[in-house]
Amino acid sequence: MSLHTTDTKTIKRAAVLGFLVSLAFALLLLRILLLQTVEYEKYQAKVISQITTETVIEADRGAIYDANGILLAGNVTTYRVFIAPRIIKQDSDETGVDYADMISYGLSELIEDISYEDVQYQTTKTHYLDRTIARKVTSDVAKQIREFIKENSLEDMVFLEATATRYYPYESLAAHTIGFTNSDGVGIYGLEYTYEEYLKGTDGKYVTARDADGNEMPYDYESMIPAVAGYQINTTIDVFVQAALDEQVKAAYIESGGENRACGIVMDVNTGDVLAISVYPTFNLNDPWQLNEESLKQLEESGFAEDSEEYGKLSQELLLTTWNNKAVTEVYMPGSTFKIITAAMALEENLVSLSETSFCPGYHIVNGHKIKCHKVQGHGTLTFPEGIQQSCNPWLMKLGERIGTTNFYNYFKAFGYFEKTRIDLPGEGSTVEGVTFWDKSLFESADIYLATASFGQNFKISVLGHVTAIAAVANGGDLVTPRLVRSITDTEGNVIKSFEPEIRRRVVSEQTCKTISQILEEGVSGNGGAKNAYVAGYRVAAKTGTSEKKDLRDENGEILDGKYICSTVAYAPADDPQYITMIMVDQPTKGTLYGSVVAAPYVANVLETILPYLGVEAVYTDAELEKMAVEAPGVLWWSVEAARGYAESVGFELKVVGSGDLIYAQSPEAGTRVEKEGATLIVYTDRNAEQKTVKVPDLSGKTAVAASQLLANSNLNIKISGAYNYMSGTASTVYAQSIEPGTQVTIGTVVTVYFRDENVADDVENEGLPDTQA
Amino acid sequence: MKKHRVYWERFKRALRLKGGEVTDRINQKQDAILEPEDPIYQRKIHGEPLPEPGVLTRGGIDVWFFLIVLGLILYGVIMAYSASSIYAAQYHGDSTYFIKKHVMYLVLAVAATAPFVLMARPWFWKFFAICAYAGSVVLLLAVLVSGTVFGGANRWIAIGSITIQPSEIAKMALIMFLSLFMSKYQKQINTVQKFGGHFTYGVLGPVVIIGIICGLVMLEKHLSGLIILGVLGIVVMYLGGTKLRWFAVIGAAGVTVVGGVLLVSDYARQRIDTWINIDKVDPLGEAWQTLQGLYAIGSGGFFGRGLGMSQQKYGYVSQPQNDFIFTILCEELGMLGVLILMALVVMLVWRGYKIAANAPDKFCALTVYGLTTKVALQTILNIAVVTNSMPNTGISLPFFSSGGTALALQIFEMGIILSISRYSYQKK
Repeated sequence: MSLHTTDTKTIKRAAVLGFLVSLAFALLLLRILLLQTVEYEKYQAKVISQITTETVIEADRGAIYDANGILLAGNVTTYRVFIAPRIIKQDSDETGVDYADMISYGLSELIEDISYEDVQYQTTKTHYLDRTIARKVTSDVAKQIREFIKENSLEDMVFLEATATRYYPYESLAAHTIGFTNSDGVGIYGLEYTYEEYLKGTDGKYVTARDADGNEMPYDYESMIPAVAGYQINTTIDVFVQAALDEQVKAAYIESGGENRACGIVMDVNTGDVLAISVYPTFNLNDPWQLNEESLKQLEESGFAEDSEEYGKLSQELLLTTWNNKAVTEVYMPGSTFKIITAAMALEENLVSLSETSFCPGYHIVNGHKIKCHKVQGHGTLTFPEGIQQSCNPWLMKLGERIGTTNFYNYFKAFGYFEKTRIDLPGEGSTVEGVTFWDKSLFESADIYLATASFGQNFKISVLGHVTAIAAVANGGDLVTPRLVRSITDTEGNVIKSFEPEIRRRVVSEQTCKTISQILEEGVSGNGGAKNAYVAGYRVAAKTGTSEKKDLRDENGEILDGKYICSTVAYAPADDPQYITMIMVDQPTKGTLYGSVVAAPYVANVLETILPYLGVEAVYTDAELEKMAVEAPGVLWWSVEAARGYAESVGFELKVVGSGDLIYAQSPEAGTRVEKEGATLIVYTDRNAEQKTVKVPDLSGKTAVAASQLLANSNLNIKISGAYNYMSGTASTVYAQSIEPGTQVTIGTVVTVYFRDENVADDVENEGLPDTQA
Repeated sequence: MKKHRVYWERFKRALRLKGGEVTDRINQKQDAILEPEDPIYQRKIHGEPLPEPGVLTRGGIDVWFFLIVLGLILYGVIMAYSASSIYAAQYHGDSTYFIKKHVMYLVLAVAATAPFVLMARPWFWKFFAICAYAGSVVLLLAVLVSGTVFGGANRWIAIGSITIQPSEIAKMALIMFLSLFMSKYQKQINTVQKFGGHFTYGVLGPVVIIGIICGLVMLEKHLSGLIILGVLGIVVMYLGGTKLRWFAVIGAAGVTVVGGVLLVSDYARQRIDTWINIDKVDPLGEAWQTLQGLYAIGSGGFFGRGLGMSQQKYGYVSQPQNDFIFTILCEELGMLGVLILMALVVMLVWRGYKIAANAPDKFCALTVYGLTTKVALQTILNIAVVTNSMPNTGISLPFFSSGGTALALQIFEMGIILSISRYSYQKK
């Protein structure tokens, strides 16, 4: 018994109280223990989920390069500009400075398309810490904004956030091949789509903890997984070739008044490397959702109200059409260019000899159907090569008959028309049996189908498939797989995957190919239908084609007449084919609607530009050399007499303006190439003499002789481009000139004049054709 | 004697401050008159040794109690700093904002309390009890008339930059005044006669004393204050000797009052509703604070995250330096931290009760019992609230919740106990 001063009763009661206190603590301890152990995971999860935020570190998307390592698609840093309205308000309230006004004024001045009101509106959202003002702001503007922030000490109110944006330095160049990404940076079109898996890289992430107000706080498990950049795609596209093709496809389309786009391809016949694919009208890869001018015009003409449903639908359709890679995804009726294939079949099967002749009465009767030749009055007697060069339909029908339906069908299949070429682009189109070609049994059931098929009518193929098939004829009989990508490399240049040229199979023999190439080349250099594809210095094998679109229906379901597809395919050099190119214009409306007029000159221009660039040496014939351009001599500071002797020695006539002895100026300048015929060098002997100007005459429709004369009269020099035999007669006429008529130029200036033969016997398969489409 | 034992004795002697020594003869004479119940003076007057001389002796302050309080204060300072630093840095731009205040109040409180510990004699506290009670009533009335609006209820009085919560003073005043009353009439209360005055002095008087304060606090709509005052009043009555049967009556009355409050007050009902349906109510609304507290306790786990490593103090547990500081303690220090806290409080109760059991008179005994129990009660209620074992009502954790007049008062109350401990008898 312990001793206490306090009475026992109180102490006893205190003991009870102490027990109760202990009991309460024990119970609470139990409760806490339960929270800490049994419910630990639940609460741990809740805390982690409420404090952590995962920040994705976007991987750099792999770049796309052309054949020479020129960047086609890369990334550029752009900035998101955002403000913190809450802080703006706080600071404004504290300091009495109207920051909202200052920021609204400053940002609207610096950022294009952002008005004072836009920013002002965002500053009123005073609950927020992050309101976006603008995205995709360039680093130049971002720099200015940074200065603006610094000058006015707005560091806690205005912010910049860097993001990587896909950037295509050449904008619309090879747009359909390269493709583009959606707003999330995922490739949705073209190579960007096909190689998404390689290009995208692996996003990293950064886990951070944030306090209840969203500020970063220290965190045990803070972790960072770095992003892995996407792989680089090294394509076979050549920017130079692509630009040349783009230009010519555009010219062909515009000058012929095309209605349904034009397209073209340049391919290496031996490796299948695709150097260029062009579609016009095209679009800007940096802004793919923006309708191009043609589409906008069409939209305007539709008459729909801008907010109507139809308007939206149409603009959507137009956008999709624009994106469509016509050369790869669409199929068309090839017309006469297909005759190359028919001829190859016949030669391969030894069904015809080069010397064999046949009479063309202007038609051919198959199973009682009279099928006309495009030359209704008939070609008369033609040898087999002439039949091909003149594109005589009866000759081809006869060949078809000899080949036979089964054989023809098998060859058609062997040339790969029924299969996709397996190019690395999405949505490739090909001929489908029973839809765009006759069903095999149907095809074999009647000769009439074969008859039309033999000259390329009533079935559809894709431009790429056709180019690949003709490339087989060009390269000695091997059907190649078109190749767009050479290799995939990582950022350090290690090859991840490489793509070798692939030959699918041998279709025809080398001998057949050589013969065909020769026939086609003669058609160009001689007086064939493809002579507009002539390129001085190169043996070009070419075939033109025109087909009527027979499957077009107007609003009432009636067949629309008079809609054509004009195309030309050419490869060079004919004796050792290297490159093939084809241009196709869908529904041209202006001028002569022949492939030989609408497409062939542009094909020639493409070849003329790219062959020297690609290292194919020009080999001039004597006749060509004779007509070749001469180079203007440099005679500045020469005496008139000495200059005259020198100029004449190099083929120039010297015309002197002024009475002095020394030459102060000359036109054209030294080194300019002009046509040898009528080459004139104007020299000025007065120091201050005004250079004489003259109006450029309108040369369109003029023959070479007339054009040359006209220019000479105006003291202008001529440079000729186009059909080989421009000097030989009246057939070739001017279709374009480098300087617009009526332009004032100094005398002596060189005007380049483009010729083509308007009277080429072409091959429009439109008359009296039975509708044999399956 | 072992060496460490010598040091210990020296330390204890150093803390046996003057004034408690029997040699202080002049004061003893006064005390003999002022404190007739103190056994020391009784012995002189009556000549009979009661209790046995030489067995019990009076010493300096109770060292154990002092050390426990010191422990609690230090533990509190550490946790208050850890819990408040982030919030302080964010809202006041200085991570030491709250801890500075906390320490400042501590220093001021200790400075203000020390003279009382050293000089006040039991009779002073009797006088003080009357003043405190009267003062509390006046302050509570003043609050009702012109309290500053704070936290949705008028509970505060501002004097300069210092705000005083009269109900906090009232708790101490009630304990002391009730102790005074019940010790003064202990004969009547402990009588065995049927009409010896037990009801008048053991029930009616205390109920009136408690009732006046509680009534005023109820008018403030200060529920937690009301509960604590009521419980403390009952505790003192219980220790004071009121017969057990009356507690049944008082209990019934208490239930009736609480029930009535719940019927009248939507606010209180809502709190109860949130408490019961904690998992169903909007986690971002009413339940936010409680839920975030539970997250803190639960996510800290058995071992805790380590001192200063709380994640929940980053704005999730709102005002982590106040009522919910215990949750941060749990999160950072785990079960060990909880055990230390509870052990300190239980030891405080044990030592406090021991001082009371040896107090020089009944008033001192009841006062020490009451004030000690108050610490335990507030701790229990605070932990109960933050563990969602009872509805959320603002109860701070003694010694831990960030400083203010409540902390200063807490120190002062501990000072009263220490002061009395100097007159408390110890075994020789």
